Amino acid sequence: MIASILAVLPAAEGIPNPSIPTSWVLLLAALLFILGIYGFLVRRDLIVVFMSIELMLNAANLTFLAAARERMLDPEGQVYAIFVITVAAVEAAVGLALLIAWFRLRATLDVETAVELEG
Amino acid sequence: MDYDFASYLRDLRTIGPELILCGTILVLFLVDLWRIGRNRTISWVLAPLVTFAACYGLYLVPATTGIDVDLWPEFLGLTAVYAVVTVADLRWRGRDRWVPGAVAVIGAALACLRLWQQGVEVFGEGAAAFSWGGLVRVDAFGVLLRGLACLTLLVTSWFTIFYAPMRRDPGAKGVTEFLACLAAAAAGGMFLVATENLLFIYLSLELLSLCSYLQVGMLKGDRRSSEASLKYLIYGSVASGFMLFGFSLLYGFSGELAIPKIGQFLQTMPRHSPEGVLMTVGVLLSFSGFAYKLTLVPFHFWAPDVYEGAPTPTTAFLSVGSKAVSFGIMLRFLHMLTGDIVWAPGLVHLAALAAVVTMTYGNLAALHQSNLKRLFGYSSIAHAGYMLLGVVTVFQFMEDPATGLLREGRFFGEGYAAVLFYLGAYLLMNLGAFGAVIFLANRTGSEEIEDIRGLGWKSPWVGGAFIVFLLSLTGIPPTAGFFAKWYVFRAAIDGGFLWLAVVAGINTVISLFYYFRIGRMLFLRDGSEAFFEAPRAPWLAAVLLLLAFGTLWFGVFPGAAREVAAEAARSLGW
Amino acid sequence: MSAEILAFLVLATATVAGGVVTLWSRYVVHSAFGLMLSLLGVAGFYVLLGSDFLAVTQVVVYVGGVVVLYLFGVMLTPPDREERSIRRIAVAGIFAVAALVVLLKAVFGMEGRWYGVDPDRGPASGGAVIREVGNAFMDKEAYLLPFEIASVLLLVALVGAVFIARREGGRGS
Repeated sequence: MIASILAVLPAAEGIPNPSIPTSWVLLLAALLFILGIYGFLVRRDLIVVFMSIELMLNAANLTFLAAARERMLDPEGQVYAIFVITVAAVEAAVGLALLIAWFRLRATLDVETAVELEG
Repeated sequence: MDYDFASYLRDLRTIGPELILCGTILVLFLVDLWRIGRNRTISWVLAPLVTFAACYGLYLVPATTGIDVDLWPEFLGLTAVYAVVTVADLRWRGRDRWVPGAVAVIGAALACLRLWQQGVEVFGEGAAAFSWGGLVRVDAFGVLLRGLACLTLLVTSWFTIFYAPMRRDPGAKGVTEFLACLAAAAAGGMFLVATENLLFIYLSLELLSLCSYLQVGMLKGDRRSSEASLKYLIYGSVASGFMLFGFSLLYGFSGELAIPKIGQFLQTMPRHSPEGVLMTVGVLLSFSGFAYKLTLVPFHFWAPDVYEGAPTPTTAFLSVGSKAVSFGIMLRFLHMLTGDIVWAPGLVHLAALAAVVTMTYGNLAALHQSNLKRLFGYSSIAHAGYMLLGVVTVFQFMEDPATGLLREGRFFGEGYAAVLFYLGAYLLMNLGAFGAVIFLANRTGSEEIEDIRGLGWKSPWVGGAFIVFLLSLTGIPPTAGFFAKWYVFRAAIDGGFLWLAVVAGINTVISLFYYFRIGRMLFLRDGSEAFFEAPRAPWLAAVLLLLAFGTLWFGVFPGAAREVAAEAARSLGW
Repeated sequence: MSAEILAFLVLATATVAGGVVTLWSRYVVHSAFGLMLSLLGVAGFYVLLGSDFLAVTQVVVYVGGVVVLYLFGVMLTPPDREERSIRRIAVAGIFAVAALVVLLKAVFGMEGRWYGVDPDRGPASGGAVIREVGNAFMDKEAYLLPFEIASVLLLVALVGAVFIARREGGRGS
């Protein structure tokens, strides 16, 4: 079966590992993206929801790089992927800061109100 | 490598306003550092040192390169910042809680000034100019929307100075961090409408979003604010993940990152091929990211909670500035679908449906709200629906009389101009309304509608201004809101969407009820006397009166603003 | 079956299995390790796709930074008791399967035509592309501006995040 799909999809010459069809990578990226959406819809644990979002971003990155490979390693796709990694790291940091603030407030709600009355 | 310094300066000039905002952020952090230890000596040494160094740099650039660059606004601004910091230290030692706000206002004002200069150059020229290797597109459309974002920043940082929960102790309440996030979000929004490159769109949209999430959570110790920020972040990240995956598909199949080139590609490719289907998925996913920012149903669910929980200046920024730039980028994106008669009609009908559902939902849900900010949150959803009316009419499709099939699509500028005018009018009236909410909440200590009973008589100027804003939001002449609705409705009718205009008209009548309820409560005679005497805020009231004046001015003389909007729409290039 | 195909299948299994563990595990720590496996698998794909630099970045930033950040988050926050709703799983599952069918159909229907391929661009090696990426970041005519704006994003977002995550609002005044 694999051989038949390979025959349908000839990969371009001169790109790294041409025996792997780009459409397979696209399919895997789509699978990761759908897994991410599924996790976001099903799970209520906020940290796991953040992790699902990371899966979605990685799916997008994989698509970018697969497309860049098909164009002889186009630097645009690679640059985009680096920016996405940067933004994802910032997003994780901001998300965890908000999460920690929220849990702290939930744990010490009565203490907080007392502080507010004082000040 | 040979660096061409003159071309650097030319390119820097095109993003001058955003650079000023980034500089403002740095100055904010520096001023904050000076305040931390209450070590006045350091402040006295550092403030002049940094200012003089920066001013010397500004002098050096033209002097050493021999290139004639005009830097006097920046020079003036730095001097003003220096004056503010030192005078506050000298005169109001320990009570200088307005300093970060003043610095942010100076920065925003400078950025507005620079944009005005840029606008004078760009309007009338017509053609778009590119800089930074095509990343930044300077045209009338972009300058107008950047101006809206920058004005929003100016007014909201002014509001922040008077916002009670952040007044008591600016160090502890994080006013500096808040204003830095506000300025960064505005800069992100301004970049967003200045570019048509998918990479830069993503980055500036994330700058806007991440700084917005942070602002929403800046009321420490407030449970609603914390919850709202978390909710905003999670749904926002998912929406941007959708958008990013859409972008990756668009790049994947076209190999291009610039919107116009993707548009050309879309028109040439066979749309029913598997690649075409995946491209369509990409376009739809991208639009879902914008729809989230625009609070279009079904991507609206975060809006009421976030608008209620956020600090009021942030609510004002999100409902005006963030929305304006998101509409801007959506219009730029629609640009690439012009002439595509296979998918564009479907998209237009989808948008029409979204407009109807959005405005009806927003208005019906606003009817029974008791919290002022939440009410304006729903009203903001409804207004997004009205604005979408102009977007729907962006294309007109010719039917072939013989076959009854669609023959060609063409751009219909009226819709764009109407949306741009609407965004401007909405800036005046909605910022004014939120300013009035801050003013009244400072007096009552609450944001419930019940609690503003009779306050209109206590502060008649602000009460009167609030009435003007409410009239304008409803769309009653002689206010800017009336003409905004008038243009949008007329564009809808001209574009062949009569039924849409009728639905919008019915919605306007519904909205009359809840806006009227606020006005009635404001001027109800038997006002409760149980509010504290807050420090008077004549400067906040002055800005509100200015906004009210603007609302009335554009309600009586809309012609010039309408011309500007039309020219901006034309500059998109058809 | 060539070595590349084998590598592809192994990496694909690791990535998807990691993702499934992330979503399905009842313990958040297991989820974090599942995510780590998945992200490492993606890094492996980057190598297969010829982007070695991206693979290293992925390992350093994601596995070394983001996942560790999540582990800190797990430690700093109390466990969330969560009810597993059959209805929600069913709805999301149906949605996921439907989306998958559409994508499968589209991807397998593809004819392998790739637009936007620059005919003048010769076969590229990994080493050359790193230089190109580096130049693109520092070139005014390419991506210098986004590179600088990313630094503004990092500065403001991290200062704001520190402010929000800090205990109490005060700074010892």
